[in-house]
Amino acid sequence: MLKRLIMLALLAATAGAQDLGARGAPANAKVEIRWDRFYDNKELGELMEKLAAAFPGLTKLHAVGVSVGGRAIRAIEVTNFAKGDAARKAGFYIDGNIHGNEVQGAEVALYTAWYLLENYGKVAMVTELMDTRVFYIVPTINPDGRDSFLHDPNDAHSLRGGVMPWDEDGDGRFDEDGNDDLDGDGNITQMRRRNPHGRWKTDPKEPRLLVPCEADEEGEFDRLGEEGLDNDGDGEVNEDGPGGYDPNRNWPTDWQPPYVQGGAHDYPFSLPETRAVGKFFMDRPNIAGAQSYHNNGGMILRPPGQQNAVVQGGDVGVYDTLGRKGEQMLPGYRYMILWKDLYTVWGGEVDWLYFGRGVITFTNELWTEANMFRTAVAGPWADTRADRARFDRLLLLKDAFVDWKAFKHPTYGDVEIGGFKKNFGRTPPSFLLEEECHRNMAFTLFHADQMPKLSLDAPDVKSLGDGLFKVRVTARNARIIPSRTGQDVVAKISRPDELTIDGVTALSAGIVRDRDFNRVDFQPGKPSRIRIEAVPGMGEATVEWIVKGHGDFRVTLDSVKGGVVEVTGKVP
Amino acid sequence: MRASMSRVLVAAVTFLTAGIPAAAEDASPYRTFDQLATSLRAAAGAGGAARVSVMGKSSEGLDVLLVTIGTGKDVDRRPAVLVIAGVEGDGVAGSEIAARLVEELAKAGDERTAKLLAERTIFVIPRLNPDGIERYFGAGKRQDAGTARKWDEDRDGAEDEDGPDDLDGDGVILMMRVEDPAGEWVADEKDAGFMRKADLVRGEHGAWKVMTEGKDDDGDGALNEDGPGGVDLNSNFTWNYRFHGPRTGPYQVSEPESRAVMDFVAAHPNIEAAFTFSSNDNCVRQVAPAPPPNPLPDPGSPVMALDAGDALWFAKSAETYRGKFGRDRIDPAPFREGGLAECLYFHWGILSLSSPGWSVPWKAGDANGLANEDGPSREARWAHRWMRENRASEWVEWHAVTHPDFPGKKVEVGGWKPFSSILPQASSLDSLATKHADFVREMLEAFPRVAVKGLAAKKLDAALWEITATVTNDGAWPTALRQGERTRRARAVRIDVVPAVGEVVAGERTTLVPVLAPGGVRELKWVVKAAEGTEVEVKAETDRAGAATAKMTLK
Repeated sequence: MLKRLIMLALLAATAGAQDLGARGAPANAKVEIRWDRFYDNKELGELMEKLAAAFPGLTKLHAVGVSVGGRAIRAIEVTNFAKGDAARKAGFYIDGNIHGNEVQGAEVALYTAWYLLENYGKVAMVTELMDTRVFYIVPTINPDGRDSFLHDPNDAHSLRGGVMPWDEDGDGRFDEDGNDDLDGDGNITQMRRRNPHGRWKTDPKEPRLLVPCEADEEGEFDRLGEEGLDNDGDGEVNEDGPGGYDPNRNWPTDWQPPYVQGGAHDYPFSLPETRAVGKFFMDRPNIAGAQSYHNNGGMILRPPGQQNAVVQGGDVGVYDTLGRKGEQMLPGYRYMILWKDLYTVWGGEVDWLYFGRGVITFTNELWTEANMFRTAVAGPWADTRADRARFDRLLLLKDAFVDWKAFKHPTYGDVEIGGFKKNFGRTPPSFLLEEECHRNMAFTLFHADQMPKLSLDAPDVKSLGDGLFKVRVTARNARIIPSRTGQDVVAKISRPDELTIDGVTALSAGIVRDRDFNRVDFQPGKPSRIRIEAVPGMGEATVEWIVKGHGDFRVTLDSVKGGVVEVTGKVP
Repeated sequence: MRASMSRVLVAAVTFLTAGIPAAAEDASPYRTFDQLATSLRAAAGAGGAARVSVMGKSSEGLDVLLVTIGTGKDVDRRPAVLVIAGVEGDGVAGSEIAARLVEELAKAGDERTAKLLAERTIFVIPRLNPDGIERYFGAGKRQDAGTARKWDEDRDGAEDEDGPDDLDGDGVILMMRVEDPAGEWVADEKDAGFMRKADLVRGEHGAWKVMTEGKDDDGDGALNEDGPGGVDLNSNFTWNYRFHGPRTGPYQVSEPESRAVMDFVAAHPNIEAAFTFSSNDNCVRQVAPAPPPNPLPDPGSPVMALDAGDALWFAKSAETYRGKFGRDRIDPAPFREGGLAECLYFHWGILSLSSPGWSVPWKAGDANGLANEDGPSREARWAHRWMRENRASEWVEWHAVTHPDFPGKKVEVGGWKPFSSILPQASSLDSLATKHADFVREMLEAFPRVAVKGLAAKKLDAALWEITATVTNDGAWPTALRQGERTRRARAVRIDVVPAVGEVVAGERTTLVPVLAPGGVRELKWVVKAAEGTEVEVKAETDRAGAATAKMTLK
């Protein structure tokens, strides 16, 4: 302990001497990474490799799976491997970018890995988190969609899904008529056509935008939708583009087929990406907290995704505590219930992680337009185009908008093409991206810190005469999240927590319901092992044995999600 | 939920039973996996209409076989019926009937079959759960619906650690009863050996606990709570899936076997109808159509009952089926949570029928004689009597055993031997296969069938023509069930007009017609600008009702 203190003091001293950084991100990082830009899947992989090379005792890289398009889905595991068995520490899972166009989730996730690694041994709370917890970070679980968004012509909303062909228009042909980048600028923007009978006119305040005419007013334009052609000659434009399903509707809990839930695909985990991530998650039963990063709207979403599902009572309290803390840490973000405050989602990831795996999980919708002028936004569906145009004009010097220009369209004739660029509107501008990374990471680390932290009090040994003793042990949880959530207990997802006694012979065993009045639930079966439902959040659980024997004994608490702790005692 | 006849019998009298059936015949009429694979490949190699392929692997690495029966072109893509057997681990009879059905149809010997197979396709999955069925042939046969995958049924962190035990050493797992006033069961006074729940209203008190033969192997205070054998595939599909059930698997379609069949169905939108051999029955027992919902559900809410429009076609098919087997039972069948046949209808819009292929015969009239007896035990008692009359040698009388977990208590073992209530007489297997093959033929004959008729051109000007045609459904079923249309899994009929040169100047070049009823007619009209002498083709096609074309020369 003393040695560690000296080491920490030395580290602090040396760091202090050279510390030219602002507080927050580490100065003099071992791995320099710019957090004002996006990285494609290959670059993300290279950054993970750099981190792994720079911090060998604190990292492991995992191949989670391979996407439809053949891209690697990779995870970085972050913990102090020298301290404890990593697989038995409470685990925290983070992923991002399940929707390909919602790119910044990957940067937030990777920032978290970088921050933890660079600050190990420097920031005491980080050191403790990495000594006692393990983080599984998967920056992007949709690399095909990500790379398509970053490299191919798209708008801010594509490519949401993946690249497996799907027949959206039911004509028996697959992906035969998607958008077309007619002006070749790498963005899919809008098409409009001058028409005195059109019902749209130039916005007098933001002349690059169109607004609807008054009822008694002559118009200027028709809006013709997104840039594109009738590629298959069926009389429709852009009706069946690449993919056409939604990976975040492909998870088992409350999965419903596409006629109920658009984008659900064929059955839960029918997509290789979701299946690989599901397996990665199930292979790590120690995961006790999770976070998924989407965009956008500034939301901290919790399950359920549909109104008939019920979050267990005790778990609602945990969610509320964490969610309200998140609202403080993420100004402009609101803590919301998915189906009630946003929309119904059948078969969403966050629902499976909670209902299917019993893990308290949030989905954060990153980036809020409240950040543009630090003013409130009127709900998830507010029309903010004028604010965006003003922000673009004043702060991005009109760099986020492709100005209208003429184009000869084979079907529509003389049209104009223009509109917001794909990387504006749902993703922050460069100078706010780092803020988004840090604030969301801080919220997630607060959540991770609230995973169960178990200990055992020293055993209370009482003689009953005739060489018999009663041994009572109390297990404690110093954090908000119980060792098994209410959902885990109700659905029997993980096995019960087990308390075992070694070194003496147990003759009878029970769970103490009331210490003062000796109320005990007898444990069926062999008495050396007691199974309890959970150690509650910020709470305790007491068990007792009647034993025979003398000398040292050991009591072990083994919790799948809360880890293993031991205490020793002595029978006189 | 009510269980089928054989299930009730198993549940009430034997629960999970295991061991060697006493009715061991000299040569088993049933095939091990190796025998099945060899014989089907031999049948396919005999120059008939069948070919055998592998569509997946079981959890133990056995092949999930697929037999495709059809002649001519595009066999894989034509309107098809899918026959699935051996879904459940004790589905030995259904798998054998399916194998014999393949052997009969693959010969395509008669003109009727040859004609059908030239235009339509039969897919047969003869054994979806080969691991489970292999147990029938193992030492100590065990009747269990599950696969062989290890599975932690009681969620204690250990897998398969406490299964049944053969306490009396007779090689068979039977039922066990423990005399205990805390039990809910009594020994019946009328039918020897029959155990039923005490009728508290009539002043009876329970005297026995009834459970599977076994002991507490892992010392957790529970008996036989986590035996070998894992997931029941027929509860592992997507419709109305029961999460966190003891044997439903970790999530829908989690098992390699269930994934193999789902991937196959997803890749074959041409599957019009399906017949599943399973314990769940909607042929002998009809499925009730949905009552009119009140209030009307949201348009996007899941459909949980048979659509009243689709019920017509289910009822007609079930009637045909019952007519062949002389079995009759009109009380509505339940849907199975997570069942395969249910998934095929509700999520893929397929006309999906299901039956065990054979079960303890039950006639509606027989039930009446028991109408006033013991309510919930009625079906079990009836089956017990039938078995006593017809299969008396399969009964083991209750006899005392000493039991480590119940010291000082009276413990007895007895009941019906495993498989005794779910296998037909070996001599009836051929006739069962023939009748099922005939049922498949009749389904194929009822398939919807698109046709293009009356293609004609009227000259409007030197190079301008009005083209008319009708597209019809000449089959006995609609081109899409309502559920097929709703789920968008039964694709619309696509109609294209294609002039060899020139262009369609009015009317849609491609028309999508969501559904054509049996005898349904869609009239179409186009104006085409083309020179005299140009050939014009009208094509109509959809996955489940086939394709048709008509051609003419403009003049």
